Amino acid sequence: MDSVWRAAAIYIGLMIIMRLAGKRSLAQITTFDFVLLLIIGEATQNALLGQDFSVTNAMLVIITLVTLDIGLSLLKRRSKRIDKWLDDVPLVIVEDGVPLKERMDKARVDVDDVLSAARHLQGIERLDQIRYAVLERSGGISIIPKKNAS
Amino acid sequence: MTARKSSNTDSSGGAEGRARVNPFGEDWGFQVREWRLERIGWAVMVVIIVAALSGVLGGGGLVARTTVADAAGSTEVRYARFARYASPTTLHINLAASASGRPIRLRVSDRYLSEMNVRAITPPPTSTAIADRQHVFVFERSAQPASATIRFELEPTAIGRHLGWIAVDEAAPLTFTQLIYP
Repeated sequence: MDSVWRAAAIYIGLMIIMRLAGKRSLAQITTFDFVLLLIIGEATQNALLGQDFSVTNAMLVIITLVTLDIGLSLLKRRSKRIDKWLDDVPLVIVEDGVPLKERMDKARVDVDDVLSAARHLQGIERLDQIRYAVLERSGGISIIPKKNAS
Repeated sequence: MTARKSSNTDSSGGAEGRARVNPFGEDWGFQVREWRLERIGWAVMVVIIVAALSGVLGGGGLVARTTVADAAGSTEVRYARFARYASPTTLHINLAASASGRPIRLRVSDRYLSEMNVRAITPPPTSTAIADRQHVFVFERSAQPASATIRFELEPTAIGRHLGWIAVDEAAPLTFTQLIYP
């Protein structure tokens, strides 16, 4: 019984914290994001397993986590609202080469991030070559170049 | 769809506040709500950290430990007000110097001990006994007067408020409460 509650509590707790951290926080943009991810994993481990190192416990924890994940994915398919709360919505941050400053501030993204994504994904070097830059739900930035970009 | 439209036109207005619903599936109203909640969440996390630093969440800190003593000051129990499930916590019982060379009979609520794993008692008691709703630990004492500290290393096995009491010999029990976090 313990294992199931533990796993559920950790799952829900982590989900809330990750959502509060925002789209960008753990999108593995910097090396430190990756390190942070590892540390969170380590910190979670003991609380997940407790002092019970049996195979039964490990399997129970895994089954609980996977079942919760499946359950939530089913819920998300059913309700757009839940989907948004759990997985966020995309956000346009550059439109026709113009950065939408207020949005970028709120989402803690700067022009350098956009340009970096533009170079990386489209080989674009200037902001005015971008038609749209979208901060995706996953935290990545996708770039749609202008048609006549050269 | 109409609900979405109305929620999309609120907030700051202007070019920034206009939702780009197509083709990206943006939801400005939701986004603004989310940002607001996000900020509240950050504040809550800071509050949690401050609370943890102060000791309210257990694990040491200014308010984490406290003492209860009898009127004469001959017995004092120092305990963690806040502790955590399955994490070690210590209980110190300080005894003032006493002239008698008689053994110390330390009585502890058995209900309290039933919610704790006793990992160690230092010094180890010379004998233990079970009495009415209590465990009795007997410690030998040297003939010369000397103050002493008896240490119980405990591990909570239940979550919530634990009520405990400790008494020395026939003195009135010193009661204390601990809150155990999951």
